[in-house]
Amino acid sequence: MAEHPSQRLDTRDELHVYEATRHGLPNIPQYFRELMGRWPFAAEFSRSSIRAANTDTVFGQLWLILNPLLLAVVYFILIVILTGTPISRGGPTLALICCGLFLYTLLQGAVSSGAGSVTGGGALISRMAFPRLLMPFAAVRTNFFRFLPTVPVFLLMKLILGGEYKLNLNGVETVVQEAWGWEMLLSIYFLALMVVFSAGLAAFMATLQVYFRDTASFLPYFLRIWMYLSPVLWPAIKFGPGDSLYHVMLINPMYSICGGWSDTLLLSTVPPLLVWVVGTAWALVMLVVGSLFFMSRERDFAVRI
Amino acid sequence: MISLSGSDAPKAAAGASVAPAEPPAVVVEDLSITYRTTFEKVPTLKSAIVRLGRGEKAVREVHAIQHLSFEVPVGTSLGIIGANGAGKSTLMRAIAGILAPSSGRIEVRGRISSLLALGVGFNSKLTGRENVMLGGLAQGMSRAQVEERAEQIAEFADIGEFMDMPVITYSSGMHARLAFSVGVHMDPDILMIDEALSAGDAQFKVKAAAKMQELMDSARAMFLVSHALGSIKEMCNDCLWLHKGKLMKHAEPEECIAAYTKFLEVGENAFTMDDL
Repeated sequence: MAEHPSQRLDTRDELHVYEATRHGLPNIPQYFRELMGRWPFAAEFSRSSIRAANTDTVFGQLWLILNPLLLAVVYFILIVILTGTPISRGGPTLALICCGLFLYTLLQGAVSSGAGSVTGGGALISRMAFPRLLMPFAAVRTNFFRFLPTVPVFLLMKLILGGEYKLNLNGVETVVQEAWGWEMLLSIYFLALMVVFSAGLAAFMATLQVYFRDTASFLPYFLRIWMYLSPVLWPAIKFGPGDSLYHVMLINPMYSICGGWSDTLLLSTVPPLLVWVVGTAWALVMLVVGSLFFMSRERDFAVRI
Repeated sequence: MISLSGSDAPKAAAGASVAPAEPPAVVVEDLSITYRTTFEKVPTLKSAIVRLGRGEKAVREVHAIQHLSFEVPVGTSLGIIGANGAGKSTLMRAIAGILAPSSGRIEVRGRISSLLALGVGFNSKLTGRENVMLGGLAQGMSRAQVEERAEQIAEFADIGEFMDMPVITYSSGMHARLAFSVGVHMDPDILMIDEALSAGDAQFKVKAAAKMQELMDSARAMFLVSHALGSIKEMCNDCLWLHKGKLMKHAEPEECIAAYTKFLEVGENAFTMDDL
């Protein structure tokens, strides 16, 4: 794309037509072409917010790891004391918590910073024309890059603390093995589902936040309760196939996404087909619903913020 | 001071004696913009619920622009004047594609660079250079294109080493100079300037005026919103006078300004009785 500085950009015949579509959706293929075309902006926006938050310094990076790690320790103490977990299961339990919690932190961060991305967009929203969906998506990108350094930490934890323990499932004593194997690579798929799901939810919450500025205050509670209801701090097999609550659990998108993630990455097992199907469906539905809701409202944003 | 032949340009283009095949840079057809806004400072769910209980409504309709139609032929430098709340900035934002029309249609040919975007200050913790990059990418340029221009921008703004310092450390003059520099270096086909001529000190103003002149020769059209009627008269060859969202006059700058000044002196009531 490099060109000579003196060469003008050939944009003279670019025709832009603006018509009344405030309460409808814009032309969707055109919108997405523009969205993809402006992606470098979202990437730069996300990169610069990482820079501004000093997360590319040594201590900044360290904090990205320390923060979820300390949280994991807090939950570990809580669970071990409340459930009277035997010492023999302590190590594997901590590995389990790290596995789920690190991924859930990605959702938490993406959704809460995505929710504020439009109302916090300031001059960018009120003075520039570009597909606004880039704002929540940039927030998801930022949180994805904040998540990445926690992966090697988890793997190290699994190496040191991982092991096997016995779990009582419906009266049957089952051995749970935190093993290493090729199946761990399948976790990338569930990470992708999480990113897609987060993007949809971030867009949805960003729209709500424009109309109700207290959305961001409710979010932490909502996200915390959701975490307890999802296989983040407890293993998905607790309500696995065969359990009477299994199908109820599948209603929760995080059951299949977080469950699939820890099944593959922590236990090296291949989750049941239903988990793959339901997880994929949830991620796509959330992305489509969140984006369409956002797009149907985004031309209203400039006068609302 | 203006090399362009004054007020002849729009008439000439309208009369199709110059480049008849070339369509107008901007066409506005029966444009109305009505937006709903809340009079609450911070709309919250809590207040929405409280209001619902009381049966109150918190949205207010603002008729910012009403049934506006005009064309801007290539080569026009259009001044927009009017009192506060006339809808000048709303019109500019609609043409820039930021606000959606409620009815009517806007056609724009070419890339718009709006000085209302000001290119900087998106994130005051980032350096001037980083803000320039963000602004350029948001306008749809590629990274390489912005990098090429970043040097020219820094040179023109003449803020020296501050280019690589966080924007939060800038004086307001530096801020305005960088903003102006970004706007004029983005190769705009259509340039929009909203009250930005006061950028910087006297020396910079001279430089800015020269640069605007140069742009006028290469850009297809320019919009200038200002309360400084002198600069409208000096720089524009066509003029719109808006009042409360309605078009009062579309004529040559002298004529518009004279009418507007008379209106201001005589007051609204006297004017409407006299003229309508």
